[in-house]
Amino acid sequence: MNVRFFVFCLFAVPLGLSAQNDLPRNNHYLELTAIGSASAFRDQGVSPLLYEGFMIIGGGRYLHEKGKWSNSFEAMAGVGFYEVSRLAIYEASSINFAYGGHTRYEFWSSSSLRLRYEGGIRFHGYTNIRSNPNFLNASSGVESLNTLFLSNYLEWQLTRRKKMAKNAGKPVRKRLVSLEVNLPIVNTSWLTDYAYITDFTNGETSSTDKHSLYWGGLRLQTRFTYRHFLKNGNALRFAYWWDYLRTPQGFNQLEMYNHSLEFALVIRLN
Amino acid sequence: MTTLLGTGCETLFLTDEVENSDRSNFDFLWQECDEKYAFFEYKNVNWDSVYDAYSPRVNDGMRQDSLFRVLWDMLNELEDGHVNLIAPFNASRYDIRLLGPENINERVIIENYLSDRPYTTAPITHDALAEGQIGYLRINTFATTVSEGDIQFALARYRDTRGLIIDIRQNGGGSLRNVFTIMNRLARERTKVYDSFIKSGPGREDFEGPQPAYVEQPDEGITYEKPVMVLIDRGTYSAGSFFALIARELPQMTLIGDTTGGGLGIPNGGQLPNGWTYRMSISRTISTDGQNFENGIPPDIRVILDPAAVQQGVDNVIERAIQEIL
Repeated sequence: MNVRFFVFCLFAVPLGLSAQNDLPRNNHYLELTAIGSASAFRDQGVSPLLYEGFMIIGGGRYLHEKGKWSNSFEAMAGVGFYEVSRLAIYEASSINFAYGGHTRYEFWSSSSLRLRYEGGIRFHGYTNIRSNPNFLNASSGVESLNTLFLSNYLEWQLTRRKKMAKNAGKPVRKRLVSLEVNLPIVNTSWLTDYAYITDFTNGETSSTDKHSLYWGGLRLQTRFTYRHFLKNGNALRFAYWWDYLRTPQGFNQLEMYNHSLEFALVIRLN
Repeated sequence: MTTLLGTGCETLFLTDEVENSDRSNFDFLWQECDEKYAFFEYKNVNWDSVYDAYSPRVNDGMRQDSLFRVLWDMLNELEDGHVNLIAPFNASRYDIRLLGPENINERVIIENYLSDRPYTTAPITHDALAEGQIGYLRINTFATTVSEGDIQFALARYRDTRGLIIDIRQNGGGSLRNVFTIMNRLARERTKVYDSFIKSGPGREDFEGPQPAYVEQPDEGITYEKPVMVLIDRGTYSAGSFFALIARELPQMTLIGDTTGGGLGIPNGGQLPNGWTYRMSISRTISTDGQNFENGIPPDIRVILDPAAVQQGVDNVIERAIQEIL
């Protein structure tokens, strides 16, 4: 069973299919992205407390839209600063790497409603290096949190068809809003073991030793996006992300969430 | 929909925060120790009885200083220098050094053994003794980095001596990396020096291991293979005790002085619901002949500093080491 048929089966029955088709498209975009996030995490392996703070992330995304297919790859890196206040303020920091991509297929569209629906899969992961000097020999931790999603994407074109038709042959500033809801299929987390420490046995142990791979947990991700196309085919993209992640229940359960505002320069490559 | 999913929606999914009461903090710390501490059996500590003894002393609403005192007293039942509680206003400790005499008088060494211009290379103060026949290296901490260059410089200076004295009395520890940086250049061949076991679950005997540790001469640079006397006392703790344990495994090395303070269980850290942080030993180190020296490594030659000799400006521990080399 090929991927296309698999995705077809997943979406065709509940949503129904439309014969509506847009003109064939073949667009390559490079997006240069800056993200600011209100973030929080709780790592039960070392603390029962929720550390809250912010992350600043930068990176890029390659997007290819061809016919009814949409594919992307993204890679980003950033830093985070967090704190929790009790009798004193305890601070933590992080270096974050985020990466992912999607492949989706347009299952339905409506010219009259100016709506399109894409469904498919999305992969997204974080690899974080977190630091909290208060935890002494456990002050540095590395984790990798990766999820395969069922990705749902609904796009609404704000620019009226009438205007598009009136300006046929001329550049038009198309405006799109979209909602993406990603539901987890598979979660994996690579976390520190039961009682992990650095500087173990001969001083050569690194922060990546003493880890185990766990399956399960919960991850939810939504993104609301506004894309404003310029006459030259480039675009500006503004997005709001919400991302929640929880590893399986256990002694080292990790939770984190991000509320992110994203700005991207979308450069058309063809 | 995004608003519904995104605006504080995580509160629907986040696990409940642990209650931050005096009682819950006491229970949390007791439980963490119960599941992670590595030496209950070895130290013959009945941790359930400890709970019964200290739990009645905790009342919600008690002064934070009073709660700290109760938790400190409870942790000191473990008699472990690697167990600490750290609050913004205080830090608990169990002072291993007080279990034995301070087997060194720094002033006697400075005034009667070192020249007026001893070298200081990173944490190593060193000089020649016995008319240049012995190199003396005083290392009072392993918390300061010892680079390959540092130790090679010191060893190069004494390459023509008949032996070394490495004085780690009252060395409270630091990084194991420094211990191996030094010991690798003193080993004659690749030698297994101990096995490590780390806690892998909440059960008393849930340990992962063994993970063997080796010393091995580097491919390049200066090494030293002649006799080495290692001076120790009760204040020789943690990384200092690891140094002594490795010395015990190397045939050209002799331990002289008093039993070390031990501390061969590596501590990790954590946090209580009220923010206070703690650490505790969560690993075991076992010698190659299967012994657990958590409470201290005995010397090959027991020598206690003689106060009468000190009055005469003599360190009889160093004198015994000189005698062994010459």
